[in-house]
Amino acid sequence: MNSDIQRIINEVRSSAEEIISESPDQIRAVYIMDREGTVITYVTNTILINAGNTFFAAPPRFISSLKGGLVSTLPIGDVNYILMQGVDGIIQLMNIRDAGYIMVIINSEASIGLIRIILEKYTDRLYDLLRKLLSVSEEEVIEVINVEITPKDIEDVINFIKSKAVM
Amino acid sequence: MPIKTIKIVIAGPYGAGKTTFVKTLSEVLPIETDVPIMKSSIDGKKSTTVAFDYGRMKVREDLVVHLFGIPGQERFSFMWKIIARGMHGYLFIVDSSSEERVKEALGMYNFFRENFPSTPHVVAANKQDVPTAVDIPTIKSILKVPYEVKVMPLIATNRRSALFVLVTLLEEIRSYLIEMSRLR
Ligand SMILES: Nc1nc2c(ncn2[C@@H]2O[C@H](COP(=O)(O)OP(=O)(O)OP(=O)(O)O)[C@@H](O)[C@H]2O)c(=O)[nH]1
Ligand SMILES: [Mg+2]
Repeated sequence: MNSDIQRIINEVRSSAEEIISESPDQIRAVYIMDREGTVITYVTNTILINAGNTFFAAPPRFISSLKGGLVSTLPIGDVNYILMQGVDGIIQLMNIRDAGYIMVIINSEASIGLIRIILEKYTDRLYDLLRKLLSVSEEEVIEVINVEITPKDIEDVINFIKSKAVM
Repeated sequence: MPIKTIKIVIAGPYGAGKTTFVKTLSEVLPIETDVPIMKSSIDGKKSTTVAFDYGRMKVREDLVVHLFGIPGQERFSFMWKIIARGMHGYLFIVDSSSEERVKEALGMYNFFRENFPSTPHVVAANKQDVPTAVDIPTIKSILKVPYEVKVMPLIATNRRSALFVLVTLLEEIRSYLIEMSRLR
């Protein structure tokens, strides 16, 4: 893994850890996602969640089902804030502007307002990190393919392979 | 003379055999497996650690094939799309040593199908040397592979098998390009 990317992911992760530490008796888990809803990092609160809980053990799959089920019916890009009652707690999902999403699972209704304020406090920092992550990964992955490939080019590759390889 | 680049992506979940596949090919083909040059580097500096497998094969002075193996772990899934952007075709490798492993590949396969609906691809059922290996029709049905997409048996450690799958993918890309030029 490229060290820049790794460093940014680590910073995203420490932000998620800090969010939990702001209200450790309320926040069960924090997920930071990119704008497609793919999980970049997640942190679970080990004090509130026992190790055997499968719901929290498989968060990426959970997120994809969330995306597939609930969010695909809404235009996720335009959603700023979602509040949902789940089996394992209350889900608060907030848009980090156009860069991604932050999602937390909390214990009780009473803390919704407080948690929202905490999340808002972190959006600027997470926005910067997600933007950086996006630009670093895009720079890394080279090749703007602009010259058109023809069937003849592919044929040349196939013939090249057949001539080089001792089948 | 502009250099043409053919970009091929080797996809598949964690432990499917992507690295093995690229490694086996590089034993029989003149594939350089050094790290890619960053677009951003003005001084031509090369990065030393990369998150994906990478190989380059020069076919003509003006024609190069790039192979990208994506990181299979789900925690890197935000990179899948970035790496796959602009690819001409992809090989989707699944570990076919058990039905369980094939089922695990469904999410990632759907991800590629959804995000790259018209990109030519071939599904490779790897580890067919394992006695418990799942047969091709079963894989087709578990992954809901469209009938026009080929599912090929693969033993990524075997040179002949790896070459055959690569050539099949290239033939698919070629047919697709012919089709596209007809439509124009
Ligand atoms: N029996 C058998 N084992 C294989 C074959 N191909 C790969 N393996 C083994 O499967 C394991 C995983 O192979 P890798 O090539 O590392 O898998 P990968 O897809 O690159 O995995 P990630 O990079 O972690 O996503 C290794 O132990 C390989 O030796 C095969 O054709 N047959
Ligand atoms: Mg690998």
